[in-house]
Amino acid sequence: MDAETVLGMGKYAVHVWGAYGLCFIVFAGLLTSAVCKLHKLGKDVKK
Amino acid sequence: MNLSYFANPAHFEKLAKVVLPLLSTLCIILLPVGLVDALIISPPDYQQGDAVRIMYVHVPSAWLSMAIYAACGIAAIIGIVWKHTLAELFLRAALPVGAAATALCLITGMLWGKPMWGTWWVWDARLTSVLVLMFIYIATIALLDAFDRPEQGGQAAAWMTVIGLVNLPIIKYSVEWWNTLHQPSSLSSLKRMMNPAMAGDMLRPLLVMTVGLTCLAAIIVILRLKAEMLARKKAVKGI
Repeated sequence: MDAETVLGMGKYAVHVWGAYGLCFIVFAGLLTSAVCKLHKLGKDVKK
Repeated sequence: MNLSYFANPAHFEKLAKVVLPLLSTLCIILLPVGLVDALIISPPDYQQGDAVRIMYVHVPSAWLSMAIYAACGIAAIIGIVWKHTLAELFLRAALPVGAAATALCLITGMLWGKPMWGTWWVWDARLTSVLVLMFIYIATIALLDAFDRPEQGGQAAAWMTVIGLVNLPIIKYSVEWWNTLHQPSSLSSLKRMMNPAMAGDMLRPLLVMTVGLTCLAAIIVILRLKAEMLARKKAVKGI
């Protein structure tokens, strides 16, 4: 498998990487916000 | 032991302690494997080329948007019938995750539709019914905090969720009831799963990504639910 297939995705590069990038941002954001919220509330309740 | 056993916050905490490491392990294994398979190993489609790879995030997000709504529907019914606090907290935890999955489904669908159909959007039955699901999610989330007392908001959101359940079969069967530009389901039933209208090389990353992203969404919902429980505890304590 050459680098062009992996990174280039031919003429659909923007669409494919856009879809995967968006999914990554959304799921990473949801996970990070859930962990941070849980951490902060955990500290508040323990006080 | 019945379902109500886990509706007890203490029992839920115990269950979460067991389930979270399991889901995390599955996620850590399945998502990298699925991504490598989806982006590198699986072949491009003979007609769609590499654009077919969008399917490996579009289909899981579509599945999640409906599965999370169905789970919210069950929680809403439990909340209405038994007035269980955990059911309301589940709605608060899961609805934004479902709305995010629905938005992802719509946007990745548009990103796939433009090169394949030549347009970002058509007012086709499948696309429109998923857009309606997005509006139902937004309306229900808005209802949660529309009252002075959170319990009232929870009850209103639960009723809204139950009413919105009618949209799920419409989404599922929209491609059969109407002539749509959107293709019919390739994996709609167990019989279809056994004889799928898809090459094995494409079915494999699709299933791995679907299970991996479902585990990730479940982790996020459980963490958010734990946070909602702590927030409620904090409010009761008056901290």
